[in-house]
Amino acid sequence: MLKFLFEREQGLLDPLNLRRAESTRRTFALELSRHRDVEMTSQGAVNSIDIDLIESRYLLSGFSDGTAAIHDVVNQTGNVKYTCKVVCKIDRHNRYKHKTSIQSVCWYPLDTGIFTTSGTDKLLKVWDTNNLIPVDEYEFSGIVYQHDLSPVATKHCLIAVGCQSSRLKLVDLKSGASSHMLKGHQSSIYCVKWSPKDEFILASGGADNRVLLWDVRSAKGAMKVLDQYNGKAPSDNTTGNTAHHGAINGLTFTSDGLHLISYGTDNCIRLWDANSGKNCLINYGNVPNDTKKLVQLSVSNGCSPDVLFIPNRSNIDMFDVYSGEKIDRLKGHYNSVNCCKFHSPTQDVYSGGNDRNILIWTPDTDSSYDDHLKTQSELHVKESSADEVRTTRPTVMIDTWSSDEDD
Amino acid sequence: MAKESEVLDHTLCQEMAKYVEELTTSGRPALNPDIMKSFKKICRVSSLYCEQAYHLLITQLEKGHSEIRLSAFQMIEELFNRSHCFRELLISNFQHFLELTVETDYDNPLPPPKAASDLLKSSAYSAIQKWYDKFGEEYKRLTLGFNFLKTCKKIDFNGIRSRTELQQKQEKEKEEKLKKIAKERMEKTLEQMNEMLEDIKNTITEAKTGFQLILPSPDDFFIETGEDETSLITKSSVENSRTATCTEIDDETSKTCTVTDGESSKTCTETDGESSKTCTETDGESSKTCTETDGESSKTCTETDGESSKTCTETDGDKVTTTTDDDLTSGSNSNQPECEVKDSSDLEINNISTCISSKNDNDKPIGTLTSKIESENCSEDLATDDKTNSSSIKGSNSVNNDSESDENCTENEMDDDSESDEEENVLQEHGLHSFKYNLSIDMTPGVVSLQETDDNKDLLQTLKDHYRLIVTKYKPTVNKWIQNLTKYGDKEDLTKSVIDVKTDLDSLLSKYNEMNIIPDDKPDVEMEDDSDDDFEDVPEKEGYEPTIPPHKRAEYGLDPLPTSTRSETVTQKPKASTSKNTSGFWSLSKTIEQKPESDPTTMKANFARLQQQTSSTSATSNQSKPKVPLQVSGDSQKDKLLEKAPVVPYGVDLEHWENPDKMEAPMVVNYDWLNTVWAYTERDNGESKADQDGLAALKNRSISFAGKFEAVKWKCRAPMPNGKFCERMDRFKCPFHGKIIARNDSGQPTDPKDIASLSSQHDDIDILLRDPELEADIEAALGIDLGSSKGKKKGKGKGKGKQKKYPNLTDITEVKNTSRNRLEKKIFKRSTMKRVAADLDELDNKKARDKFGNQFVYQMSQR
Repeated sequence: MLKFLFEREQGLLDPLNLRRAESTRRTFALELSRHRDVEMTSQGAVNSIDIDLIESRYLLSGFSDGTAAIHDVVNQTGNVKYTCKVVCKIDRHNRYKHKTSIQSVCWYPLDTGIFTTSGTDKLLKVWDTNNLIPVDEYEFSGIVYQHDLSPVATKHCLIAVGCQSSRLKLVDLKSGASSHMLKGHQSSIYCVKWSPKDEFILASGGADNRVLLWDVRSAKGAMKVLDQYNGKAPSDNTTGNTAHHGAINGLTFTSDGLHLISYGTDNCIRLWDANSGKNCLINYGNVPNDTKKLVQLSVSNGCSPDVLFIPNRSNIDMFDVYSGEKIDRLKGHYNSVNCCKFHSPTQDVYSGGNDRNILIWTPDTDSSYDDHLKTQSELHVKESSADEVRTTRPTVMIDTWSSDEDD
Repeated sequence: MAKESEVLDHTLCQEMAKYVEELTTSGRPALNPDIMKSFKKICRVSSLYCEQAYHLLITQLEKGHSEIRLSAFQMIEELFNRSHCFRELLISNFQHFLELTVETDYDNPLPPPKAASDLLKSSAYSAIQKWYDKFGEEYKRLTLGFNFLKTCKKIDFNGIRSRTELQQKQEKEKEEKLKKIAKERMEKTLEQMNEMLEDIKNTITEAKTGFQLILPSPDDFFIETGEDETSLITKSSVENSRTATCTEIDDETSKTCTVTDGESSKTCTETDGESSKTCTETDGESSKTCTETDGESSKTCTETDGESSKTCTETDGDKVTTTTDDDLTSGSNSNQPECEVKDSSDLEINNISTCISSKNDNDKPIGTLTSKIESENCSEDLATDDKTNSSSIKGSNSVNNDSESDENCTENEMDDDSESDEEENVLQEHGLHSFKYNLSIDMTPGVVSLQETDDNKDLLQTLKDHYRLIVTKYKPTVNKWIQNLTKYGDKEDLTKSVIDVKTDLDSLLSKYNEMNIIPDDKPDVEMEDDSDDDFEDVPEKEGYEPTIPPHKRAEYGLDPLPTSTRSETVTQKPKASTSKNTSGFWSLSKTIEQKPESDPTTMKANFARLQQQTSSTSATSNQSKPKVPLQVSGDSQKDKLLEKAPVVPYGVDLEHWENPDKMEAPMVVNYDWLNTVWAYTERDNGESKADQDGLAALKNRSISFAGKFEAVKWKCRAPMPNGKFCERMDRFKCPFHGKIIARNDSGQPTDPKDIASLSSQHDDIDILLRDPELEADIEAALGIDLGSSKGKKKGKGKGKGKQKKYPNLTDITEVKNTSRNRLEKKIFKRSTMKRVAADLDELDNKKARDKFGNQFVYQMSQR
């Protein structure tokens, strides 16, 4: 670290290198945060979370009871210990809320004034954040599993919606209507994802074991059907190319948009080259996956190597994206985790699960928090010389072997 | 220290593992504190050991047995509260822990023993709640877990907390209540004691004095003699076992007191009127009798020592004195009921003075002195007395004596030299050869009976009242006090004093109980008249008599007691005389013994008669039979055979012994038809049949088994699966459990031979029944270990091995005999199912037939 700083001072080092090194270090040292909490708002499981792209400040979360909430994750109080406050929420008494579970939430990439939610009530709602009123609603023929807005779109304003039907629909916010219908899947579509590199490239995965890459400019059909064998199928391929041996319920692009990661119910994770559509054949090992709905994966940003966060039942596994090595396992949830989201500015991870918690995983580097607490308590002692602090703090952390074990 | 603990000590680790196993497989709901302590001691050494302990415990916690889990959880709780390192470890894996203890994962429910799993769950909840309260701030995951349980699993921690608080509160209240009650009780007791203790003490003293009056303690008797040693001895011996009798006869006021100790006895008789006094004192070795009579004043002194005895009798006034003291004879005459010494003086009977009877082993009085004279006997019996003592006694006697009494003094034989002349005189007077006689008297405490008379009536009445009061009132209250004091009070002095009071009461009660008061039924006056006549004056007995006096045992048909430890101390004069008389006059045993056959009504006579008859008959029969063979031949071999030959009654077969073909069966007349006029002609068939049967019957001769039948007194007692023992009473072999062998209480054979043979038998059976290859095949097909490899390789049969390993744990593999199981067995039996299905089908068919049977079309179509 010091060497990096020194070199940076001398101008020998690309600022990006320093940044990358530090963020990698931090990312690898993620731990359940002891000083940051997210305020609990709902009685439902957390199904989906999203962080806005503009400020990376607002955490949008959708719950299984149809409510949604927006938390401010930036700590401006000055205290180290911080609980993320709810900025606003669609609570249970909101008349516009989803009648049933929300499956997916998404910020409008250009403005925090708009966000979108979709759920099992077959609706996609576009909300005005300030008024908490849906400005638009789209109804679909089946449960909406996931919708997504392109983070880099400038020429279009399309929401890709994957729902129970086999047709992927594109909703144009400008016209307020479903503009496209992409045919190619044979069964329900669990996940859709826009490429962060190319605004017209869209990936989708479904229960038919297939991952399709679309170019939305050509509505004829899928641009590519990803093949897990890269065209060297061991036996006669009657069903066509498949990406997994089970339904695909997790899809994400790497932050540079060059690779696509898919997660299937065959307990496999696959890395694809987004350009060629080739399977990179990275072995991540067996990651249990038995849900029949969307699982939100996340990939770190600005690290080398990049880290994949993937919910694994009640834990979150961290993998090196390009080597498939398992880095760590984040334990903290008490029920299966549904979604996780990497917060790139501070290298935090937010995760939500069925235990109704949104947990924050922060880099636990050099136990700085403990140091902080120590100084804090010393300060306290100096200031007030009160006994409580001394008694409360240390007693909890130290061993308390009673004297009766002496003899 | 720190460096040393960096490395785990292997032996310590092993020890820990041992402790963990011991504790977790104990099967008890609570941990053994000692083992836990030593376990904690090891964990204390360093965090590495905590880590080791954590791993061990988690492994145990993952076992599929709730009792193991429960114990492991309890150990975890102990460590969790103490070690930070342990907390960190556990909390880092808290979800797993929750799964294992509180069943958060529905797919993995807690393992079987229901009671243990419930206990585990509830205790885990309360523990987690406590942990949260204590450590929640520091351990984020703990908080999360707690919240998870609270919000998602809807565990009512507030309820648990409030419940525990409520419990504590209730306990506190209960304690306070108990304290209050205790206080109240104490106060009440103290108050009561203040009121009643005085009364009780008064009663005790009254009763004591009453007893003293009735039965003066021997110390009181002999104060005048000034004999310190003996009195001291008596005093001390009075403490342990003393019986005392007091008799007062209101004749001319005579008094008898007897005190018997373990070793010494004292008798004191006082007679008023003509004023005679008798004192007898018997010690372990020496006895002493002192009689003095007023009026005509005579004196008798007897002393017996371990070696010699001496008696002096002296009568003054009119007559000469005679005294017998023949110890040897009296001692040897133990068979004789009594040895009487009568004064053959021809004097009027004015005084009754008694009667000292001490008993030897056989419970027979050795010597009874009956004096019907106005004589004064003063016998002194000194054991190892000094001269001073004896002289002092003499002095006292002389003081007591009236005037004319001449003293015939007796001296200790030790000082021969000084008074040898006198001794010789004495010897001559008494007709004794020497002093070298030995009289040993064993004194044992006995029942003391007390005749109720007018004199002591009031006293006895008061005593009785006191007794009743003590039994009904004081004793229970005192007992209650003691209870209360020991339970609640901390005042030891008070308790002690109350206990003293209680012992006093107890001693009084026992005294009273020992005293056999004979109620005074008769109008008192006739007493001395009775003394003269010879009628029996036995105190009336009401029906059942629990103890039969030894001299009457014969009358009751009982054997005389071989060695009786009892001793009768006092026989009143009339009683003594009557008993003598009765035994002389008539006694059942005597009559039976003496003239058994003279009285034809007695059982004995009858027996004798019968015996005679039987013997005579047998004699005749014996005589008659042998006569025949004797006549036939004088062959000795034949004689021998004949001796052996059985004697059988004469019968048809014997009659036709020579030519059995001629034997004819008796005719059987069939009266099937009731017509007496016309006989049925075709009778031959039936007749011939009857003939055959009859012949066979005639040829048969049943000889009864000569041996004695012995009932089987033993049982098989082989242990059965239901926990009982086989109750079959076979002589040699039980059809189920084989040869009958000696077995202990648990039904296991005791003889090593039997054990060996049994085990070998079992093995044989096992081997016979088993086809290992087939079993292996079956196992392979089923994928279940049926235990075929158990015999060959140990430890492979996991379930069995485990059971043997941890006998304390509840066996969760055993199939329970529940009502459900039994019902299932019955209902889902193949045959039952078939039957029910057939019935239902039949019903359906019938329905169809009824509905459509008459319809032509359907009939046709059905075919």
